[in-house]
Amino acid sequence: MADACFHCGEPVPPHTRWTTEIDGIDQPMCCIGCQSISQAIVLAGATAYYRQRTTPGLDVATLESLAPWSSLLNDPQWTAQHVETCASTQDQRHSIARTTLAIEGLRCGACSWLIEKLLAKTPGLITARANASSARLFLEWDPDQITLNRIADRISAIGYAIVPIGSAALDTARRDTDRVSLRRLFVAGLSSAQIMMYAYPEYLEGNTLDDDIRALMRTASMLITLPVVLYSARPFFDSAWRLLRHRQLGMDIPVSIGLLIAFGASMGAWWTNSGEVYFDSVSMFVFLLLGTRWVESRIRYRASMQRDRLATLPPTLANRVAPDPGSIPAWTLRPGDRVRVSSGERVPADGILQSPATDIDNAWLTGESLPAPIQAGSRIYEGAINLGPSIEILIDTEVAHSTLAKLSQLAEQAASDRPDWVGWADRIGARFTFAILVLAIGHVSLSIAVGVSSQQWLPSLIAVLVVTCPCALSMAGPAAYAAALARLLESGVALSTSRTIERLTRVTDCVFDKTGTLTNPLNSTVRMDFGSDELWPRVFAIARESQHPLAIAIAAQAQRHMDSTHHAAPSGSIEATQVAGLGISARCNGQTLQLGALRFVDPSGTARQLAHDFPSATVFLAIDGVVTAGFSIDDVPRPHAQQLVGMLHRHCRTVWCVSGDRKERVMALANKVGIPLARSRWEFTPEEKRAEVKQLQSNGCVVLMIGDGLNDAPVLAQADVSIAVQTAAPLARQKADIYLLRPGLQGISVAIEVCQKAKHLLNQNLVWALGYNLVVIPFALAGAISPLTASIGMAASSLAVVLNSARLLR
Amino acid sequence: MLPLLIGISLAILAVAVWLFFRMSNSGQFDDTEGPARRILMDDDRPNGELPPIPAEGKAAPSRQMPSH
Repeated sequence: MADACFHCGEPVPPHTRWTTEIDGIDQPMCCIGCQSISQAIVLAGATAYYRQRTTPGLDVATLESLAPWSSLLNDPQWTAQHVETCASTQDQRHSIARTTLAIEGLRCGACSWLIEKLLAKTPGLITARANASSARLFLEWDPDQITLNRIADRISAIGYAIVPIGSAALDTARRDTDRVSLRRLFVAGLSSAQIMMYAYPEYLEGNTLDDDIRALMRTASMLITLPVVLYSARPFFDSAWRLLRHRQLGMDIPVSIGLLIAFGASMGAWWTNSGEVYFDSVSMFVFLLLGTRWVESRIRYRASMQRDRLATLPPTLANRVAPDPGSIPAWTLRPGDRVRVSSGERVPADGILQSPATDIDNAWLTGESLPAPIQAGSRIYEGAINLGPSIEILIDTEVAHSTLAKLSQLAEQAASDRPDWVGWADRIGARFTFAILVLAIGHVSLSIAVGVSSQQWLPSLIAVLVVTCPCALSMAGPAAYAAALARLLESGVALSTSRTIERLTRVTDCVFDKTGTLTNPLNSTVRMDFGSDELWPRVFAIARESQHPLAIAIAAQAQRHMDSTHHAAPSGSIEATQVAGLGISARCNGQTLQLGALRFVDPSGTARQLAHDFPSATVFLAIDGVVTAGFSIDDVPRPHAQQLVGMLHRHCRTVWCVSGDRKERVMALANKVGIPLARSRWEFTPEEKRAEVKQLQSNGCVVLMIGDGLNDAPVLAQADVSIAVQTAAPLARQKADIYLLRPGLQGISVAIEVCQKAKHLLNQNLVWALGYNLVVIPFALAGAISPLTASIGMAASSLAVVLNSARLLR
Repeated sequence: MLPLLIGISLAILAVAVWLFFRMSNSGQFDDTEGPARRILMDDDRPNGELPPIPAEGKAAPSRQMPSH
């Protein structure tokens, strides 16, 4: 097992030697990025961060993919919407700018300390307040002395990424709701504590108490119960009223009826100074109920803040060809720009197709998943995925505006999106509520018919209404689901719906794609089979011009080689052209370099003998038409792959590997990670992969598919549950039920474990809540439970359910 | 005597609620985690120099950065 990076916790690749001295110990680092981040932290004198943090730092891959977002801070439209500028109160000549940014990676108190500390002495910066629970950073600065971008640079230097807040209004609204609910809870809590002081004499000296003193105590109790009923209990009444207006039933209806009866009866008793008062029960009931909901809302808050940040997935980058070629964030495109969209990439903005006809996938827009042919000159919309060869598009819209609009739309959508478990709670609550109301009415009418005095049936009616409140029951599901979702998101696993949790626990067969899923091309071992070491700098220069996984792998190896021999990449500009599926050719320092398949670098076939001499070589380099080097690339499984397959086998899952790659390579890899050869498939087309999964399903298997590539999209859609790894193509990501936000495969084992635990907890919750309600009803009907005991018992059962679910978060 | 005591207790309650609302308004309870942890953090060099601000555009750490 390789070492884990001290900064981000990712495995350290073999044969690397990045370290940072922290507190006198050389700690291993997984890459140069983590090394420079940790050195910046040490340099700032903030090693306390490493001692106190509770979560590992953000990995550099995620950091890199989110980095382009920070250029949005320059955008005048963004500034107009999100930055507030006013004159300084001390010195009218200076102005102050304010904004709130979302910070990815800001996860614990140590992070907020680190960020604030590093920003503290920045000239021109007035205030920096980092909030770890909401992952927000509030900034005040003097725009004449420092730009927001300079501040952002400091933050990214210590390993945090700035992502825009979709909707600032939504953010404020959420914060305000949070404050109000805490206030309601405080008022109810304070009242129920104080009210015991006033109620105690009556409990102790019930009959001997002086009438005047009793009246005084009751008046005091009434006075402090009033704010509880009028202010703290508002959410229950509001929700009950809303339910009634829509002719629905829910748990807030019996709660409200119970509260109103108890409060009304107490007011009557207070006015006549006779009979019983239940002010203490009312306060206590409201306090405990609010308390339980507050704990539950904290769990949901964690999940929703994380979901919000999902709206800020890595930004769409556009490959602009004219003017000013380069890879730029999509929102900086202007009308008239020409962009190139490679095969399998997402169209960054609306425009006109300039290339000959191609096929596109418009599922994002229309839900239609069949490829649609489009012709040159027709309009092509943002979000469409190019299925054909590379195309060029002439942008004809103002992109920044629509990007901003879309961001806030996404955030608002995520917030208003009712998670599907809410329906579950409502249904159970409604049925149970109906039963309680029937029970309560039956109880009262029977008591009156038999001639029992209201002095006797009133307390037991209140007890029944309070004690049977289906709070615990209707929280059983949401609490478990929300906790699971929050926990998964914190481990970098995003779920499309909560139903996935349940389905994932039923999975019998796991099917893996090979290249990109079980292996990471970036970590493949690249060997130079023939050729001289002096070629590496030139190999680097040409390989980094391509985004093909093999080219990336070769560039990485070339870089490692140059690092160890202190060679530099050749200077001077390079003009590269890529031939899809074959290779890349470039002019560099007067030489023509070609890197790719043998038939590409050597079309005449003069070097055919080389293929026989070096059978493992798959990629060749030719300089001015002469083949000078050959490379072989070995698949290396991702660090966690073997453990994951082992874990799945231990959990009695059947594991398959389905790949489009050659037989020997699939067999070699299956061997390495422990997948039986009998369950390995090779040279499969996307359609054959889909058929294989369909075949399994017709045998009654529940199939989990794990994939990444463009061609995995059909099979991901076919499987019962699908997981797309972090590096997945946009199309695959869109079709998958689960999307990993962090590199590596750890997320998959976490997902399976957490979902299993969540289902277990849900069942425990249900048994407990239902059992509790059924057991106490007879006692309440018999009048054996006082309203006060009833409210404590109700709250205890709900709290048990919520706390049981919260165990998932640890 | 008793009415006075009860009156005082009610007044104290009112003050407590007023104080809590003020604190809540100023954002004291928005972050319940950070400040609790912050007192445990100590600076290695309380008066130490700050690292220079990285050059514009060069700040984002990258895997591809050469090490020499």
